[in-house]
Order: sequence, then structure tokens, then C-alpha cells
Amino acid sequence: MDYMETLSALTSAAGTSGNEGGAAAVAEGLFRQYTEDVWRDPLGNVYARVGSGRPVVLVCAHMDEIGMMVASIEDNGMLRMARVGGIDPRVLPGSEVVVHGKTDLPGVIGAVPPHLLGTDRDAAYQLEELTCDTGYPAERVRELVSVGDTITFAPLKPLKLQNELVASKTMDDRALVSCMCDAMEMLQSRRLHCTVVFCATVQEEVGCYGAAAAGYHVNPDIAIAMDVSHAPTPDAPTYRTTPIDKVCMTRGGNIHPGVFQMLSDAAKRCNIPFEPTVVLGGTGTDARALQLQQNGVPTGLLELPLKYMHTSVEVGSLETLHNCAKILTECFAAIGDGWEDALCWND
Amino acid sequence: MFKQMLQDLLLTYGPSGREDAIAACIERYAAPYADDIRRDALGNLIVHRAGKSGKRVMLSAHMDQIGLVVVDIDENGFLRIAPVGGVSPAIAAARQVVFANGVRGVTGWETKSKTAATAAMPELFVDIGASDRESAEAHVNVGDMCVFAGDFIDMGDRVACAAMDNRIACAVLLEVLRRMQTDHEVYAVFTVQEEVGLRGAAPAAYAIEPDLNINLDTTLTGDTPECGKLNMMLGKGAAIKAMDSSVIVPAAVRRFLTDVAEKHHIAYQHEVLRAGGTDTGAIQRVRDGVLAGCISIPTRYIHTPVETIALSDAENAVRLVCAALEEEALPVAPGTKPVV
Repeated sequence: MDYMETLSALTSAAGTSGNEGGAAAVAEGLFRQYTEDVWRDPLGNVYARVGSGRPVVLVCAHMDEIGMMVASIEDNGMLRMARVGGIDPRVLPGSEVVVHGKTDLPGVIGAVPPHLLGTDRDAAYQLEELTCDTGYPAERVRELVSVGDTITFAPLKPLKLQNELVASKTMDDRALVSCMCDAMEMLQSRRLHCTVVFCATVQEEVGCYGAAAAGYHVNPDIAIAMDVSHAPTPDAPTYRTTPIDKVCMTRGGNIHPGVFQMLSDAAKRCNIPFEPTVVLGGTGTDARALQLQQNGVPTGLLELPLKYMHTSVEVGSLETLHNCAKILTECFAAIGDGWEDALCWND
Repeated sequence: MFKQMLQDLLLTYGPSGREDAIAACIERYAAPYADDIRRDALGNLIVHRAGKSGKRVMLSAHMDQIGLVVVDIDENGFLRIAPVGGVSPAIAAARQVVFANGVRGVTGWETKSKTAATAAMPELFVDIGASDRESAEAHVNVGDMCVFAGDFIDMGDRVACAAMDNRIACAVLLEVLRRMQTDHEVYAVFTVQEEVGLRGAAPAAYAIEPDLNINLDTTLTGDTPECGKLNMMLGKGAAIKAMDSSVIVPAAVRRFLTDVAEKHHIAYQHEVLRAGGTDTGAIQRVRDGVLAGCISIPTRYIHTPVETIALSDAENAVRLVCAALEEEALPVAPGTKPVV
């Protein structure tokens, strides 16, 4: 699998939380390259199943992206926006965007020029103060755009940096959707003694709602979430970051120690550098919701360290991404008769 | 007729978790149009009408209202209070309140260092006219709840009262039950505990497993002096929700509702609400997902005793729900396949 090609297809699709149609169509097409057993659930999650029998392992990476929604239309045709997920208004001015009206319209998010600002030049913008400009006058905007239409970052091609690093919008979390495709491809040459259901989830950015539905829908024996964590940048606190070339593997109340063991054993067998991190309560990922579905699900979490999260230039390492897929593949291929014992609590 | 019913609903007691009186009031209006009525374990009032299309539609409106709960009674008979739902202390000061048993009181605040506008909730208290703890406890106990006393203000098409959130939607839903012509099986659910975290609706949707939910609630407006920028205005029609802080409505449901409104020339407006949630979100996330949308009544001064609406918006909401129920083809969820 060519990561740049797969990433390019996934990240250029539009799919803000709750309106994932575009991203879902791309994910469904990619999944179908590896199996015919592909379907969606009522909330919109996309599934692909490989293997058969128990245990059933559910792997989730979310395909929704943060973005904006048109909240009102000004008399001069400017669009006021509401946030969908954790959009940071500080990084919006100067952005190229697409307004998904009756047709897709290019737009820009401008800002008052510094020359015209008063004394509070350094104050960050609030989202309500920003507007999106399509260039059209109000009458034409009102014909083409309705309150409730979504706005996404422009689908610029992922940018290859040095050192196998890539910058793109929506690396969070479509990079990990591409990683699931990589794992499916590698599993084609491995013997499986379990069922693996891969799921591109919806609505993670607004509360991990897709994963909750997926956990209910599949009722798995084991669940693994894949998301992004923070890679070091000069001003980020080091204890909250993981080196960009290491897979981040979480432990804590949200994570079953047996599942952590299965994942870390797989990483060690493949000589893949990883770093355990500790989150005491629920993680801010799909793992949080997956663990609590049905009768409770032993859950694990793998994360790709990412720089500049929730901007249009999220930077991650393709090598680390491929390593995530190798860990998954090795972990699933190693699941055999002893799986229940591996998850048993020692009392 | 509608106005009379609305007044009756508005002046009936029912804070979150204490919905018996309002449920009984709603049941009286719903009974003539129901095949059966029940209350579930949480107290949701579920009105059922049989259908023949094989499709099941859940209509919902929360019947609880915001209030205040007594947390302590002091030796002089003053009641200390905590909020039930989103009650701002500035709005709760200097009010008339009423308890389930009809006991009335007024809210005061610690005047030494605070004003009615600056007192925090722990600095407020209810005065029911008692002179000591014992005489207060003859009427009210810790755990009892009071609500803002309603005063129905009739300004013609526009009316104001406490509890308009969400009794206007309850009235809309009752009017829909009276008027609707549909082949679909309909469950009209008057939910409990919305104001304390969307708690009642999910268990009801879990039991009903609907093909489609249309929730009814109030929403904020952007049409008063120097207010936040919002699209919704009084008198511009029923608001079809795209998003609030609890839910993003699927495009298929929004399109269905806007298409129905256009087809029947029903006035509507698009709704994006920056802050505030509704049962729609809780219902959407039941089991592996429920197709859910929401029609809102634009309301000024929400969570105050003077919540103001336009009756024409309520009428448009009634017509929109009825017209939606007449549609044979309902919106379809992305998938349904049972699994593994």
C-alpha cells in the first residue's frame, strides 16, 4: 500500500463530525480492496471484516474531522461560523476552506489587517469574530449556502517533508484509517485464528459517539482504538509528548493490561520502538467509549505521535504509521487458543 | 383552544425528576388520541398509536422544567437551595417560587456584600414565610423542589411564561397527536430529566427502537438587542436543527424535513445553536445509532420566568410534523446490517 496515495484520498475527502459521507465513501472503497465483507451501521460507521471465529477483535480509527458549520449569513454575504469539534480559532485566519453548499465553494477565512487593529493587536480571535468569505454577494450566497452547511479545510495534497514526515489536514485521524488498510493488506499473507473487524468511526471529535455505536454493534471480545497523540515541539511539556518515531502505547484505567501486553509483546517481537504512556482515567479517544459497551470490553490503545494537532498541517511519520500497522498485524496473527487466559484477571 | 391547553401545561408543576403532575396533565390531553399510554421506569410518558406501514416513528418532547432543590433548612426557617438544571443565580434571585404541594415562597439573597445580580447560588435562599425550622419543615423538606411561579403573559401571537421550555413543545406534540394522519406507528414520548443531562430520552428510545425520531424543543434566538449572532428569529417559522452542542443532525433527516416544509409551504428556518443540548443527541446515540432530527420553537430569554415564543412558530411546527408523518418514504440510515 502506498501511504501517500491512500492518505491523499482520505485526507482530501470532506467529513466533519456528523457529516462524514464523503470520508465514508472513500474509506468504504479502500476497505473493499481487501474484503467484500464491508458494511455501515445506522450511525454511519464503516466496517470491514476479515477472518472468522472467536475472539472477535474490533479495531477503530475515526474518520470524522474537525471543521466549522455555517451559523448565520451576514447582509454582506459573509458567513459566521460555529465550531464542529475542537477547532482552534487562533489558527483559522489565513485558512483556505471549502464551503459545502449546494455546490462546493472555495472560501477564505480572513482577519482584520494589523494596520487597522487598535491597541489589542496580540489578542487571539474568537470564532464568533471571524467570517468566511466566498467572494459572492449576499443574494448569491443565500442561493447556494444554507445555515447548517459545513466548512472544511481546503483539501490540499499531503506535503512530504524530510525524514519520512508528512504534513496534512486530518492526519487526526485518517492517518490511522490508512494504517488499518495497511494492516488488512499485511494480514492477507498471514494466517488468522480470529475475526478482526476494522471500523472507521464517526463523531469522535464531538464525544466518541461512533465508537460507542460500533462497540454496541459488534459486541467484540477485544477492542483496540487507534488515534493520535502529541509529538514533541519546542514549547510543549515533554512529559505529555512521545517521540515522533515511536508508537505511543497507552496504559491506565481505560486500558486492559492483557490487551496492553498483547500489543507490547507484538511490538517487541517485531523490534518496533514504542513508548508506554499513562492516562489514569478515560482517554480522549474512541477507547473511552469502546471499553464501556455491552458487558464491558477489554480495550487497548495505539497512538501515532503528531505535531500541530488540530491544524491544517498536522505532521506525523509514515514510518511510525507503518509500525503501528505492523504491531496490529503481528498482534492479530498471534491470537490463538490462549486468548481468554491472556485477558483473565489474576485473583 | 391551543392557547388554553398551553396555559394549563405551563402552570403545572414538573421539575426534573418530579414529573408526576405534568405527566398526569399531559395524559389527560393525550388519552383521546392514544391506543395505549404507559409510563416507563424513569417516568417517561409514552403514548402509542398503532400503524400499518411497518415503520416506527418516535416523536419526543421533554416535559420537565428547570427548578431549585432544597438542600438545607436553617433555624430561622430559610431554605438553602441548589439548581435543578441550568438555573442562573442572577435569574433565581427575587423570584416567586412554588412547590409540588402548592406552597409558595420568594427567593432572597445575602445582602451584606451581594446584590441580586451578583449573589451566587449558595448565597440565595427561599423564604416561605416560616419563622423557624420546625414550621418550615411542616411544609417543605430537604430534597423538595420548587419552580418559578408561572405567569402567563398574552401579547397576542407572542406569549411569555416560565416553563415555555419545553411545555410549548409538549403542546405542539399533543396538537400533532390530535391532527396527524399517518400510516406509520407513532410513539409520542414526553421525556423526563432533559434539563439535568438528557437523561430520560435514551431509555425510552432504547425500548422503542424507532426507525426515525423527531424531537421537539425550544432554541435560542438572535433577534434581540445586542445579542449573540444566531440565525433563529421569532415568527420566522419552525426551526429545523442542523446542530447544537449535543447533536449534529444527519443531512438525510434535515433534507427530509426541509423538503416536506417546502412541499407544503410551511415557514421554516435553519437552526445552528452554539451552546445548549437537546434530547436529540441522547436519542441519536442509543444502541448502534438512531436516525434523529429536531424541530425547535425559537424562544427568547430561555431559562428565565419570561421565556417568549411566537404561537405562529408553534403552529408551523405542528404542520411540519404532521406533514412529515404523512410521507410514506422516511429518511434511511447509512446501514443496518446485524453483525458477527
